[in-house]
Amino acid sequence: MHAPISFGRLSRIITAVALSTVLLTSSVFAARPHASTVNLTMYFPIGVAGPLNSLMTRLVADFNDTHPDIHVNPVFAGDYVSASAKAQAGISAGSPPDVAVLLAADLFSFTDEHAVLPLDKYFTKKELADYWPAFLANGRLHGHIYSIPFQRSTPVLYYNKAMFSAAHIKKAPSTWAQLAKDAQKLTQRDSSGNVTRYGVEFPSDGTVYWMWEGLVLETGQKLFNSTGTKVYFNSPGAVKATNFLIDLSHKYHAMASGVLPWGGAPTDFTGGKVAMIYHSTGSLSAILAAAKFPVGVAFMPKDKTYGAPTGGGSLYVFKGIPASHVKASVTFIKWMTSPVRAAQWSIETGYVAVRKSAFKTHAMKVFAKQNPQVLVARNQLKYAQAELATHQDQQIHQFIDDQLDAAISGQSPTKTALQTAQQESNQILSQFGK
Amino acid sequence: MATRATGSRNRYGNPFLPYFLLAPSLAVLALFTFWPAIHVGWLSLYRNNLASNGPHFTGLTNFATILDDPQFRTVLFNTLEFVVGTAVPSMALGLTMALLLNRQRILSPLYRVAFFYPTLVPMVGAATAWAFIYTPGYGLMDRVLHLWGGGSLNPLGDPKLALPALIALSIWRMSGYLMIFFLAGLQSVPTDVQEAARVDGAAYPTILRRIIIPLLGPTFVFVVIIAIVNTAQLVDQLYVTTGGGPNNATNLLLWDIYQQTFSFQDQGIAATMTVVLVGALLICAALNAFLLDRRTHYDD
Repeated sequence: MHAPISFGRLSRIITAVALSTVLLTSSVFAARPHASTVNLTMYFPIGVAGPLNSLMTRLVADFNDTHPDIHVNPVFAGDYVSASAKAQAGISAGSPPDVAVLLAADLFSFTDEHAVLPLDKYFTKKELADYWPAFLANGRLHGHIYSIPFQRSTPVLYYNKAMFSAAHIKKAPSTWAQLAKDAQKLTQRDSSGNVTRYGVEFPSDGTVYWMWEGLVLETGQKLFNSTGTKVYFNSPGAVKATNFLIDLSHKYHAMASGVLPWGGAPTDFTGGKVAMIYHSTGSLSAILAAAKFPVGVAFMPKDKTYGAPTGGGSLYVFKGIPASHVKASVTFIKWMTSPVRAAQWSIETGYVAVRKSAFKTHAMKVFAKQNPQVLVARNQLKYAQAELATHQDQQIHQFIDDQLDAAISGQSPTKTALQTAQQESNQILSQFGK
Repeated sequence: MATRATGSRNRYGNPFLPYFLLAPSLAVLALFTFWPAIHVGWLSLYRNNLASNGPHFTGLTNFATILDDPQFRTVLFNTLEFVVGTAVPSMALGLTMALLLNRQRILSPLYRVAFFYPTLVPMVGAATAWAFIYTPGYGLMDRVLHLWGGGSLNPLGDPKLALPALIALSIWRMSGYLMIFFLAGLQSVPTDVQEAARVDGAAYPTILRRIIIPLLGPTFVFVVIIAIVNTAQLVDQLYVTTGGGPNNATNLLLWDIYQQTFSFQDQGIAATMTVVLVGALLICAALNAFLLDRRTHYDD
């Protein structure tokens, strides 16, 4: 038996229960995203561990905190190839990611699949003008812009200042001829004639086409057309660039011969095995951290003109997602590439900040004062052009990489090799030529 | 055989019981092995790449295309060289190590572990270590060559040396694994027969040739197929070393399939190459089963 409860007491209990329910539920809901929150999936090409991963996690958390109506879920999707593969799988299954950082040069692969949205209408002219044109170039097609630069790089010439002054060379070489001469001077041999130190190294395994494009551009030759249907691999400029590389080993004896590994070049350089290397700006932080000598950074030396390709990943937005997701994705992209974030990403990773105003931020000014090398890469962007991008670009890259390997390792003469790559590419590209 | 079912009924009573019991594994096999194999055969009949704007039925055109492609022929030849070049020496080494370590000596267990350990190292780690050995200039191999007054080699960057360099790495990794099977096989070779032969004055080479190796027959059948299938599937080392280069000198069939699928997005060609690979492996397995297995002496 219960004691009878007075009305007053009952109402107090009800109020208390009601109040605590409201408080409880509200605190539960507060922990979750808002009911009208847009959930975005972003693919980012990195493994699950490492500094880039933690930086991206921090940035996304910052974005989510400051944008209560958008929630971005980053998916760390391996390297560029696996991230692309995952995005492709999503597209085929009808559930594409909303945003992804994928290779800028893969543009045609995505447009051929009708997988990505043009983004230019979401940006003002002024906003777009703030991104470096050389970086935007790989996103341009048929008057639209399909990708916004995010983690972009460009190759530069690294040189060992201590070795330079020991050899009485005052400044970094600015021409091919000067480079060959300096490299010869910097090459050292022991008493029995074995080379103990080479003058220069131009890595040539894997994606050698990338830096090689820089050499071709320096001869004043373009490597492909803007609609991605033609390549100029057998052009005189391409032949000249390839022969220059071969001459560094076989005529000037200032570079190791054969195909040299990309990953080994920074180690060779910081270990004092070579005086100069061509490498990506992306390696700057690692080289500065490992080198026990003053590191100089210079433009890729010129032939007729300065020239360099750009490389790396840009942000794409995918077709087939709701309008609210497109809008939220654009907000996210603008935030991620805002001057402050672009500067932060550049400082912490070594990629070149993708927009001009990033170099006017306080953080970047302070950083550039300590590391003036970052400004060299920026200044070279004036001469930089789009990375080799065509329809079916991965296969075209493979053709030219294979034949460059063949030429560099002495398997076939330069002209034959480049002619082969040209024919193989023509065969593929003719399917797209309109 | 010890038990034999009489008539149509087995001793469990229900004739469907064995099928019922096998059904779960059959279902899994069908879903994850048979169906994909059939499906890939179907896909190989379609042109489906970035230029095709969706799949188009083309019959056997894809097969004609790849057979006509000099690069594919290079890849096939590389794969053959890699599989034979790895499997045969690995089996020889594995058998030698097993014969040496079969006798109980104080240090045998230690040596067994030492020889088996390369198998335990993940391929990516092993390949990274070997990439360092092969580094021109200051890699381990060049250091040793230098001590003996030799010049510098760049095996992974030289089209003639790259595949042999990767074969060496694969032999190092594979032979310890095959040794384990030979060791297990040797345990079942009866010692009394060997002792009888020894009493009759047979020397070790004769015992090896006339008794041990014939009695290892079933092990050989197993090891041959394991060695071929495993080497045909080894591509991790390419990922960390040459990426198939220089100029396709180390491009192997499975690597090519991976590239066609994920880099070039040519699903039709990738499926066609897969049919070739699966077909070749099936033929190997069948030849092995019908030729070698029939001549093999099983002692129980």
